[in-house]
Amino acid sequence: MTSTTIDTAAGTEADAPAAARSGRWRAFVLRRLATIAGGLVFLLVITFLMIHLVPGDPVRASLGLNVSPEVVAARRAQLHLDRPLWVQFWYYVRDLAHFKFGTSIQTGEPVDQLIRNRLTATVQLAVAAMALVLVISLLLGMCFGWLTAGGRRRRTELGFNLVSGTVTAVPDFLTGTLLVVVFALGTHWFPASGRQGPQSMVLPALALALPPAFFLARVVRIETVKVLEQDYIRTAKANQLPTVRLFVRHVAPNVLAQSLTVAGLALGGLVGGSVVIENIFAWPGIGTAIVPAITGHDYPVVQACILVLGLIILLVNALVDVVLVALNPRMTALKEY
Amino acid sequence: MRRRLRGLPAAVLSSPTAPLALLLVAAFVVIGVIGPGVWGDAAVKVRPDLAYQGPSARALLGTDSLGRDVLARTLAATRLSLLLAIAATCVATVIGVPAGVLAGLAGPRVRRWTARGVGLALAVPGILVALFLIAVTGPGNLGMVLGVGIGISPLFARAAQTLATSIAELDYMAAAKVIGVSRRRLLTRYVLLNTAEPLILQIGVGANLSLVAVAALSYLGVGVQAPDYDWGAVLHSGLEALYTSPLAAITPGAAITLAGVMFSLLGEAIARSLNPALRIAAGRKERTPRGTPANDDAPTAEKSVEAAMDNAPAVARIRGLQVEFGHGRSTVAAVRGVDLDIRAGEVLGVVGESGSGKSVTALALAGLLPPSARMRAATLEFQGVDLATAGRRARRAALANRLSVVFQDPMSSLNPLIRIGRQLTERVRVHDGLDRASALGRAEERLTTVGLSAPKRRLRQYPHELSGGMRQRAMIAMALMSDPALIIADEPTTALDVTIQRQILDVLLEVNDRSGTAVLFISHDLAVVGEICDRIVVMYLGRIVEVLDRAMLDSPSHPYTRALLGAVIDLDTDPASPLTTISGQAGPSDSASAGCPFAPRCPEAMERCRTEMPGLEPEAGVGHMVACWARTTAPIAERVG
Amino acid sequence: MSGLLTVDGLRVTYPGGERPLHAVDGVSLHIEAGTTLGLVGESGSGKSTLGRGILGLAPVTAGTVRLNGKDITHATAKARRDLCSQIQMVFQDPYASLNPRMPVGKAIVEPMAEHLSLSNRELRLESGRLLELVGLSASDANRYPFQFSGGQRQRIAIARALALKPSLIIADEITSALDVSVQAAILNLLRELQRETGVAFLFISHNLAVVRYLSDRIAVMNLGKIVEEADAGRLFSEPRHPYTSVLIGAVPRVHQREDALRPLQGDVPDPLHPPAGCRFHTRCPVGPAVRSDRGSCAVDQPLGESGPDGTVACHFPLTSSGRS
Repeated sequence: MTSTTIDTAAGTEADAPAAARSGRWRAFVLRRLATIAGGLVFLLVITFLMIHLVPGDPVRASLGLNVSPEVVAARRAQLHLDRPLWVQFWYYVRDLAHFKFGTSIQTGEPVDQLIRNRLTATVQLAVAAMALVLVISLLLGMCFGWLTAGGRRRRTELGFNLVSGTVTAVPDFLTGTLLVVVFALGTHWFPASGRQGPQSMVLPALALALPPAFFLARVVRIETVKVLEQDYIRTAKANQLPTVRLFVRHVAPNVLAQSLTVAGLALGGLVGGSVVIENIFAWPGIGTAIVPAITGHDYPVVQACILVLGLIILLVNALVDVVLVALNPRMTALKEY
Repeated sequence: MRRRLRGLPAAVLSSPTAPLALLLVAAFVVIGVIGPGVWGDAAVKVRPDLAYQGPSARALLGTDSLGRDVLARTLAATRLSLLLAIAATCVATVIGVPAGVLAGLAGPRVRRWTARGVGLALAVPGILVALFLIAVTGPGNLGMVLGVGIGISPLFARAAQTLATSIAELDYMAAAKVIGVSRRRLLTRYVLLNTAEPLILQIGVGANLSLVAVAALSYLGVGVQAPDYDWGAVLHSGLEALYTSPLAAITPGAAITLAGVMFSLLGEAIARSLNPALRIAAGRKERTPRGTPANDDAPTAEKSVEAAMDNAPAVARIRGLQVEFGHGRSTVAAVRGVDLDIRAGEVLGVVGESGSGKSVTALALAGLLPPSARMRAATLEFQGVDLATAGRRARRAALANRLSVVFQDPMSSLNPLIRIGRQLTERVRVHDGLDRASALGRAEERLTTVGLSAPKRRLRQYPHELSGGMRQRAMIAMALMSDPALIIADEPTTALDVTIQRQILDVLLEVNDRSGTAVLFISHDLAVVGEICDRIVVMYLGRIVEVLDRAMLDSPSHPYTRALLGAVIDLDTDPASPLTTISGQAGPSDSASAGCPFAPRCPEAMERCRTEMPGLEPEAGVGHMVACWARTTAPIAERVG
Repeated sequence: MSGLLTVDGLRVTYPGGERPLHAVDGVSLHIEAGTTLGLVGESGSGKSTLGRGILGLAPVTAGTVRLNGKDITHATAKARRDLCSQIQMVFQDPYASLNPRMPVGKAIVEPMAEHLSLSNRELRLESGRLLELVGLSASDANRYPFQFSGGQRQRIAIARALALKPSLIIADEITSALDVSVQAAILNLLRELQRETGVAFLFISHNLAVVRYLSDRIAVMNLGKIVEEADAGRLFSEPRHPYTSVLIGAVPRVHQREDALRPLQGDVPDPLHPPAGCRFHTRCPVGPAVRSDRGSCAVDQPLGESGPDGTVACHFPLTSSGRS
């Protein structure tokens, strides 16, 4: 019998990734920051340009037709609209840095005051809904993935797909309406609108969370089925690990790593959905501020609202990416973004 | 072209949801066409005296705040709602798909940047983009359609891009370039044809999203402006009546949902019709004949098997093992009555081509069959415990301590997210209750046994930091952690280079030599098996056709073994003479017939071979058994000679 | 010397994140018309990349490829389309190399439809002829790739490569995804085709036994370089390069023999960071790791020494007695 061979040659090779790990982390953080910065610049430019893209004179449009030219000119000067474009952009960014969003054309109030009041409400609602989305989708998706793995229980799978497909297909505003009809008008368990006390948040958060939660649950189920078919799960089974341990240690982290990209998109989409839901439930957030601002041509308010919502989305996606990379030692995600 | 048209309706209808899709499409088209004409007047008739009414004969689903008939309004709004959604989807397709395809086929640098851009755009919800554009253009249809279209287009761009990228890397694209297919044809016949199915699926989903976004914007009052109205606008006036007449809000909501479902299902049905596999399957009446589990020959002459086994104690005893996959008509029998003993300390080789059931047999013993498999066995004994009848706990306990498995692909058989150390120690910590330190100590020792350098460092590394050969060593070390009585090695060197294969084979032999661990070595390569195994089992279509000692490999009895041996190319093959081949190919129909499964391809097949299944009978020579009528019915003298 | 294909100093470079990867690093080889050159090596040796580089499917950064004396290294897309009638390729994975949405009859004559002006009837006849040439039936023409087994698909791919009667076919690991009995049939088919049509093959494989069976000459690749090139019989009976010798020793044999060679130690080095000097020196059984007087192997790159019976790139080639 030959003596056992020792692979000395590969030793140096195997060291390289370990040493490069911290370097890659730094590269990742830098790239991530660059993406956020890029997104931020894009947001700033687009919201700034909005006023200039509007056909006709935004000032006149917002002040109405029967205002004297002097008043319009004064207002233009006040908004720096008589200066070159890049100077205006500089003022715009400088003001934002000092948390100055200008004043509302309709009410004359400072916009930062309005944002400050409403941001808390929106963030509260969004965070509650996101938590719901994650809990519901991961629990349901993994449970049904486990039950239907390898083509077992075709009927359960069909039922799950039917139910989750329906809930996903029902638009959030209809979900909201139905919830109000049943739980506010029917049983009087929760208030139908407004923001008084924690129970007032239940219905809007649910309405906001249910469609993306069930959409994500489908993704999670498919990923769970896929992970369960992987060779390394077979290895773990060959080691005769108890089911719970197999699931917690081997299945769940891999499913999470696979589903998070989609989850990031779903959570971002939820921020968009909040505009509609806030209006249905008269929730005093950013979403209820932006609609009258658009119909009333109140551009500073629209600018500020879009800027804030865009920032929330950027933040959510950055967070998802950090979790993704923390989960995955290979950091394959790095190459993509 | 004609073929496609013939198959298309069949394929569309083959989808379980297709009839529903067609029904919905027909209903919405009819209502959309006649809606405004038939219900238009009733929809706008204001009757303040009838406001907030529930369902009645006059207004089947009640009235809204102005006393207008909700049902009539919903039906009349169908045309505008659908047209707006379709327009927005068109905008999204026109912007997203070409951008995505071009980005997917561009050079690596452009690809990376566009991927980043699309990723960023994808994060922005469509409704925000729409709100922004509406803020610019002012409330109305134009801003809404453009905004929703642009907002959804990144979704299409991403889909098209990933599809095009994945196709660009496939061999058939390279092959097309080598053939000299023109650029235009490459785009139409290759890229578009092969991406159409998932893309159309995506467009169906996108149309659904457009519909909902348009309705949401109209509901918010920034979309369709009075006096026009779509479902969103109807919903808006309905919500004002919510407290007294909930149906006023639910009716348009239900219409939106149904139309959304229609778009998704329609996309799915069209996509299905483009897939030749599904199309042909739908057009064909008969499918693969159902494999009948060979019940009759399950307990094949157990006596003779026992007689032929010498007295060496068996680690594992398998009798009458049968495994099936699939359901109903598509059932495939993978193992059809296998009897096998694995002796303590031996290296037993199992050879056969793909579909022979060699891996499935081993996985059945290890309890690792996929959930879709169904197994039956008269006896499935491992170290005296009958796994077929034992409870889950007993089975797990029996296997946990003494049976290990090494799989084919070391790249995918280790969990990518967990350090080597934890993966190696998990089993003994769970089952033997070893503490972390001593488990790690044992892991280090086992890594040294399999010849991995710097074992301490390896324990802290992740699988991707090791090369393929190193990972396979780690897998063997993992297999050794609980001092197994049997290691099942399922094609452990197939994915490795010859030089690494040599190292892994040596490690396995060394383990067998040093600790007397039996090895069940599964391989398609007769040369490898012949080199390291004491005994060799040859399988064909789920049955054992021959069992022989290594020494007898020069002169096997079964025609299949001989053919397999003739087809093997090694360094002793004469380059001047053609290779032995087996005519025809193994199909499921061969195994369903009553006779020997190899008979249709066998040069020596007799009449009896086609009608009657030969059992595994002892041949001359110790432990030599063969299932072949041509052998077992020949005169004794000839057999001995 | 004006053979069919002459590759001179070919280098294929993939731009990478950390540093560019020279998957093929200065390779020269030569194929005579109607003969088979076998190309063997471990994974990562660059053998497949070399095949793709010859056809312009991989980024060539240096060197030349000449077909019948004509430089085709950086042929334009249009010129390449004309080359198709002379040089073709068959890929490893028969499941990925056929367009799943095209009936095989159509796929086989696609090159003809592109390059020759034939009527539909003529094309149909041709597809039938080609299918029968590779051992399938003309009535299979209307079926789709998924309706065939792996071996049958590989036959279809070969038929497609033969459609324009090329003088050279690059066969990249075409039997490695197949069962042994199917592999034997494909190899027999290739030999028959060569005898009938006089086509030359560049046969790329990791399997030494298969390469030995099919090839007239054999080139052995290691980490982007050819270490030895010789007549097939000579290469196996008297390997000159230690790497060749080790590879031969590692091939399993049905009828076991006394194994004279020690198995190779260690893994294939990372192609991104190839060792300095001779790229095999870290694993060489007669190199500096074993013999202290051979430190030069770790410093100087050996150049290919051409002799009457082949080329070997080694400072201390083995002699016919197996010693060096």
